[in-house]
Amino acid sequence: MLTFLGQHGGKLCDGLSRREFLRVGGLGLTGLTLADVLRLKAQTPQRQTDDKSIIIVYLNGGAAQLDMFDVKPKAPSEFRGEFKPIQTNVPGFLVSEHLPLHAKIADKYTIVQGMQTITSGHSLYEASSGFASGVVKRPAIGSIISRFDKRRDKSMPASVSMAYDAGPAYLGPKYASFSPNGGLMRDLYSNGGIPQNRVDLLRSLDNLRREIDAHEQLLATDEFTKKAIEMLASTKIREAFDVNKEPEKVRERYGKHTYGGVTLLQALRLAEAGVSCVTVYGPGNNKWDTHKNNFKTMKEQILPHYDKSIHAMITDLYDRGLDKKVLIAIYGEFGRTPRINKNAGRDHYPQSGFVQLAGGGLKMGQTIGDTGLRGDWDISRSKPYTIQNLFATFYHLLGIDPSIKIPDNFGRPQYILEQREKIEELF
Amino acid sequence: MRKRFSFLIGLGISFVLPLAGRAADKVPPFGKGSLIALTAIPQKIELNGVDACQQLIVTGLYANNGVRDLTRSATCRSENTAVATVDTQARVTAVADGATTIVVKADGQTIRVPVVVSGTRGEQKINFTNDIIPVLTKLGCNTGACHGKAEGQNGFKLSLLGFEPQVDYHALVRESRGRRVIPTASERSLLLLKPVGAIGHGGGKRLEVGSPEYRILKRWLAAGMPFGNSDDPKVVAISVTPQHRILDVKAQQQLAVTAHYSDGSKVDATQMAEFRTNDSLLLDVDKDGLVTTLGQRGEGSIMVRYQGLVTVFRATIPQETPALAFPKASNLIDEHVFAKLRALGIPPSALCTDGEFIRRASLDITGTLPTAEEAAKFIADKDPKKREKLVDELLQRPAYAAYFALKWGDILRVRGGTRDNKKGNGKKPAVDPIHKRADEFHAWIRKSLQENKPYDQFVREVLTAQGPTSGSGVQPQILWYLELKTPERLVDDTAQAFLGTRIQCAQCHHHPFEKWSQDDYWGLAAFFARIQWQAVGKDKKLRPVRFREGGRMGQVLGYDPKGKLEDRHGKVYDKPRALDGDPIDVPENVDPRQKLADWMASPENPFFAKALVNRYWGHFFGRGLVDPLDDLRITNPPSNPDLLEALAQDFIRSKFDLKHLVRTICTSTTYQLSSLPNDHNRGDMKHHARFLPRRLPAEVLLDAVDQVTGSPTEFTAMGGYKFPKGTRAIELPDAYVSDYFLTVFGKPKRESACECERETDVTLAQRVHLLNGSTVSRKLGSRVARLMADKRPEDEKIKDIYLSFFARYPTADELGAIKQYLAERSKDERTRSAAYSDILWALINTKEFIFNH
Repeated sequence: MLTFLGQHGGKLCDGLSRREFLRVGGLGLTGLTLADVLRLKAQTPQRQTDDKSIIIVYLNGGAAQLDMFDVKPKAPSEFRGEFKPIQTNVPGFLVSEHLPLHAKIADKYTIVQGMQTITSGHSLYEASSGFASGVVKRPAIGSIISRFDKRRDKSMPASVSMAYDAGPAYLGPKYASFSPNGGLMRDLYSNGGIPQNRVDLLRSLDNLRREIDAHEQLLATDEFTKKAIEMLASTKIREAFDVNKEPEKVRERYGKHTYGGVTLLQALRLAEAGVSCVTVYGPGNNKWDTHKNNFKTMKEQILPHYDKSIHAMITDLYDRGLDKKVLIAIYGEFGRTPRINKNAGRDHYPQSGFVQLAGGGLKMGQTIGDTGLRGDWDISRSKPYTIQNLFATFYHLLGIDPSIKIPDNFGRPQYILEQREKIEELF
Repeated sequence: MRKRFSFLIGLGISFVLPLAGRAADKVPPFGKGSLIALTAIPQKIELNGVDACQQLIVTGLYANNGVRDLTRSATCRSENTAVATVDTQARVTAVADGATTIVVKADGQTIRVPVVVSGTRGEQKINFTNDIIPVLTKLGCNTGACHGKAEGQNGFKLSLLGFEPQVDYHALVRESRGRRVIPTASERSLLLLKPVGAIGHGGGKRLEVGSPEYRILKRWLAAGMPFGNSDDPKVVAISVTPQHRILDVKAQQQLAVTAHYSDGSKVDATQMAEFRTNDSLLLDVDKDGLVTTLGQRGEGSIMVRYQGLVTVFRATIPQETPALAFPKASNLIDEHVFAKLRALGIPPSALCTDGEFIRRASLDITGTLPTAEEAAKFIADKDPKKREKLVDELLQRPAYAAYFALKWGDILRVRGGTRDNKKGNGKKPAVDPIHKRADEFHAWIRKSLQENKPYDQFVREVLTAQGPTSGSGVQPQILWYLELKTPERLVDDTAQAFLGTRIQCAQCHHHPFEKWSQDDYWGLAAFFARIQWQAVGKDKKLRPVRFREGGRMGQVLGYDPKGKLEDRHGKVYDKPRALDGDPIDVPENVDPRQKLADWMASPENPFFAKALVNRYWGHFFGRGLVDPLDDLRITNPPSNPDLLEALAQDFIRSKFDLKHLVRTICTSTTYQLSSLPNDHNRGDMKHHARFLPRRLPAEVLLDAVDQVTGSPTEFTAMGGYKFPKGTRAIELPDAYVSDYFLTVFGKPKRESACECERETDVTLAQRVHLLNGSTVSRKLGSRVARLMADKRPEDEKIKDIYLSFFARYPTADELGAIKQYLAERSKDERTRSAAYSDILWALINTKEFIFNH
């Protein structure tokens, strides 16, 4: 494979062809190649590794940062809004008065302010892929993670998506995120598995000459047949989705909302079971787009739910001892305007939004970035952080080199990320 | 023998080897036995200037008429090291003006290479483009991962791979208040401090203090950073020595690269050239141009790049096989394939059986399994010409056109759109739904293939489509324009789909692995410069639409005789220029796209016919002669260049007759080889010594399941519309189909012109679906019912099943196993029916069913 790089490019500038990918392997459940399966076979079950996981929680519609974490008590009222800030358990760290539970655990999360997006319309494409939509469709982060799956135990899918997903794009369908509504889930759990007599019968009849079998695809077929039969006999994936396995008390803490309640608990269970990337919708689904009546909607409908469920999720993360292993990232497609509009609402504001992060063994209890007195100081940093910087942080945790190039369907090498600097303050 | 060798030395350039493909039946030799003669290239060396160097290539001729590279094993010594030195890799470097001799010794033989050094005194001329850019490239400074990326790296931006020297010169010398370069204290320039790691450098240490690269940068700084004169010679070509070698399975070969300048001078560029292996399992190459074979056999190549120019070294690593038995060659394909196999020492497999042939040909030509009756009849047929006749007959079937329309639907992006079942309430929509266009274009493709429209005509009609996109008078091919919209995307697809060339890179920068520049790209795009999207304005007249809004349903594809294109730097392109051609003046009353079609179909076009035959080769053999099959370029050489050329010429001679091409391929002995390997061709994946099994494509596999179970799938479009009953998967017009089976087995969404968008691998999700999914479980019933009602003896019924699944009769073992299973499990009607169901389920899940073999 030709790369753009000099001879000593090494890891920094390494590139692989599609074909080499197949050989090199290293992929999620559905995308397992033969090489993986053989490697898996060669390994006896090992201790649980220090594999890390990412949970992405979408705030679908774009959340008003000034009324949550980027509070501006000294700003004029047309910016400041109705809510008052309150102190948290971290000195100097203020949050909105409608996040009282969050105020008690500010040491357990970090807020990155001034996150910039390209997207200004309602599309989670950038939130999912890191890129603005263009001629070349980019893969979702879950598909990249499936493609570069480095876990030792691959009995769970590398990526599970229960929300919008930009899809695998040029990585090919085998790197699609596992969806609980998708065909694989149905195939695994709807038809009752394969009786032993059928397994035996297939074995006795599947005898295309052995010599012909010495071909990668045919070998892969055999291996996948075995692996599929094993999977069909296991309920591990289904159980990870099943929140009824949790004590009532725990479910109660998260709340019974489907979005931002059950989904959050499912996400944590999936990460705990070994899924590398889980994508879900968070609290306040579809209500975040507060062009009108921002304060009423936030106060009455969104923030109480948000405070309860996300607080539950973060404390649960620590209670389960997963705070070093699992990183939760909560964000929407963009921020909302600091200046309040005439309908007491806030409009789309790609210049500055926020990401709430918890766990991952990263430095918690900080606010990163400064958006100025009124929250519209978008030149506060010479280079504000973007979704790509956030993804670079994820890839760093997962051990994926974001400068690897992947050929798109035109044969053009595309970097996993163009902006590959991680969010330094977290380390 | 001796005589021929001295003649070769007389040529002084490289050995003429018994080239792959033209050799006699015996395996071509590499160096074995005793050393007969020793040679070095070049025969004499002239070095001009400080640090000038020349790579020697030392080669031995051996008793068996084979050659071996001795560059590293020979001992080289300079008779006067004050004039020139020579190192262990036989690289001669100038020290001071004068003359000396390099004495080369190997295996008791000695040769002498005279060296003359000049120009080391006085001022050294340095040209930024010729001398400094290659250093930046070799060190990796200007790669896409580092300073070469669009926004640069940490405030310092170079043009990608140094294709824009002016820009780079400005960035180095002028930007940042000139702090990157300090001529009076060159060692303290950031240009040197950063790459040697003396101060923080995100890219790490890339340069050794005192290395030749370091020295030339330092000299350039000390000389006051000259850019050079505009009349300084430029590199116009590069060559590699040797170009091709037959190598042992454990061998090394040193390469030497020569840069040819516009003034006719030649300079060794081995040290500054970049080397890449194209076949990482076969060959490795280091930064000095030393190629190492890795223990595998076959053919591979090394790409060499210097100053935007590329060339390749090809290596053949044959295996030593005793006597090679070859089947009869049927046509030109076999002549070339067998010649290559002989050169590689790979004997082909035997011919496949009749059953295998009818299954293989039916699947590949018509996307359809043969029925049990067809298979039985074909196997029993005694006609020696029956295979040829079958191919002819298959080509006449409607399924041939349906299946290839599926293929062309992928390439031409017949994507379509959602469709629902609503009849409407009498109101006609303002514009036609896009799926209507998809249906028409699909029907047009299918009809063109059925009628066997000459391929050049087919492409011309696509390229020159025009007029309304909705209402009456719509040309079906307009969908291609509706999908692609802009000249840039049109040229991308034109190049990839019809010329087998990926030229997209050159839209913004020189293609990194090809000679294509932005001028080449925009010249080709200019053939589309006069298309103009128009819409009916308020005054009911057609008006051009704004650039970004072109290509919507309801608009008209019109013509603007003054249309031209601009690249992102504002450079205007109004004259189209074909690849490797001259700019063409096209009168205003002539659509340049006609000229484009003319150029494509001209017999001299080096891309058009090759791209097509390579694409079709890929269809029938699972990989192109050039692979990926739409990536024809110098640096990605075909596995069999002679065959590609011959097949393309044959296609041109046939007047672009697609059925003729299919017939030629399918009646070749090569296509009829068994997939069962012999002892010597097991490892071959590239040269067609045997037929490589391929998983059936999504649509073909689903149709096959439908056919053997007698239970047709009813397809639903996204949006809810139900396609007419009896529509087969291969007949679906567009990509807006909701069917999990097709999705999981890789039906593409048609978002690109690349056939690689179609998933052809086996995945775990596919296995789970076939083993436990609803598609198969729902379908078994109807065939089971037929089997239950069939009163014939069990043997007959099982034979029928085997013929319909595999186009063969069951073996005695298989027959026994199935009868035993039935007997054991048939306690009553219900269990008997379950047992049949089990058997069908198992056979659908065999590799023999899922694969074309």
